[in-house]
Amino acid sequence: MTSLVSIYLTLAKLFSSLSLSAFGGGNTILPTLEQVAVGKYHWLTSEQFVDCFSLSKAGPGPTTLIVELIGIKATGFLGNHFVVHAAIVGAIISIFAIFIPSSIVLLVAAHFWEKWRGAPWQVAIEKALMPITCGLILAATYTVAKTAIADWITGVMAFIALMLLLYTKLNPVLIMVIAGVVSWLVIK
Amino acid sequence: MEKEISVPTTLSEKKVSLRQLAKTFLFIGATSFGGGLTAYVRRIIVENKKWMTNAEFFPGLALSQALPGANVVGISLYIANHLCGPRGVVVGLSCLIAPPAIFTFLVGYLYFTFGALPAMESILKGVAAVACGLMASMFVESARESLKNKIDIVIFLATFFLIKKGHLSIPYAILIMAPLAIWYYRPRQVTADQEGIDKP
Repeated sequence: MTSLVSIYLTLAKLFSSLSLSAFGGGNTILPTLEQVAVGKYHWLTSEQFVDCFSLSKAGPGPTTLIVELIGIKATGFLGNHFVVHAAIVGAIISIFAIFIPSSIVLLVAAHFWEKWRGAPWQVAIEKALMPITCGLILAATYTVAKTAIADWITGVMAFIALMLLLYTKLNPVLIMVIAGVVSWLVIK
Repeated sequence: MEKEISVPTTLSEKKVSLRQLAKTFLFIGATSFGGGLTAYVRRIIVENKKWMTNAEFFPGLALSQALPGANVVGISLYIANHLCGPRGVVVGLSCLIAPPAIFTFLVGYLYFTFGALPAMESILKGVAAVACGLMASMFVESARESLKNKIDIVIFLATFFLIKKGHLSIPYAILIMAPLAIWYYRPRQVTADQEGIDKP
């Protein structure tokens, strides 16, 4: 039992420090995460880490939820069978540790952002950030496109989705469901 | 659920209740599949709900990209704080994270018990393609909103190339570009004479 508690503590310490070092989005922590979770603590194998990455990327929510999968594996599968309550506590600790520290930093920043809304310097920073953000979004689009557009079918689907999003008020979820069904039927 | 009729406002003067905020973020959390999530959040909050303008949204996105943490969590926090204050942040983030966290728990249990990935690959390819379209649509909206003059275009291109060609990480690119851009847009003293000329 003491070993379980020490794993909880390790998870909390590891993920909260990673939370504050995840500058530029969640994916920047992945190399360190693999080094520690696979290499140092042997919570899971290399292949499992890669699978967990695919799962958390495809599933709902931020990819950062990979820490929940690691938390479940590290705490729920210590014996021969799955221990639900240990895994639930592990999952909750992992989620809190990864999201709370970075959220506190951002909340302080957002607070001052709102407080100074309309001040001359705030307006200047806002104007300055607009074209920069535009560049960041194009860079992100480029990255997403490189993995998402694998062949002409996915390319056409992405283009149709873009047109529908720009020129109709269709809900993106509906578009995703249709695209999921179409690719299931067509790509195999 | 997203079909509620809302009157467009130029500025987000709209009052949003904690309940509405919770409902919307639960929906976003449960349906945010396949990456490009910040674009998905923008689509719901700015386009469908019209709770915020693009001019309010994009600086928040920059803020969440410059500071540590997952971008979708960052932008959701910024939105929740803007609409409902710190209480909104607690409610909004809990609602955003809870549905995917439960989903991930079940998937994790199945994966570590049976050791196989669910056969969803072909479905996910289509979903990822739409996510790509979502990101591209956010880029179009952002370009419309933010590229107002030649200097904007230079700043935009420089940022993009620093990341893509210079292989700089996003915070470093912001650290380089922001001071230059802020200097260009710095508040300037307008003398009474000039003001008279500008606004006859």
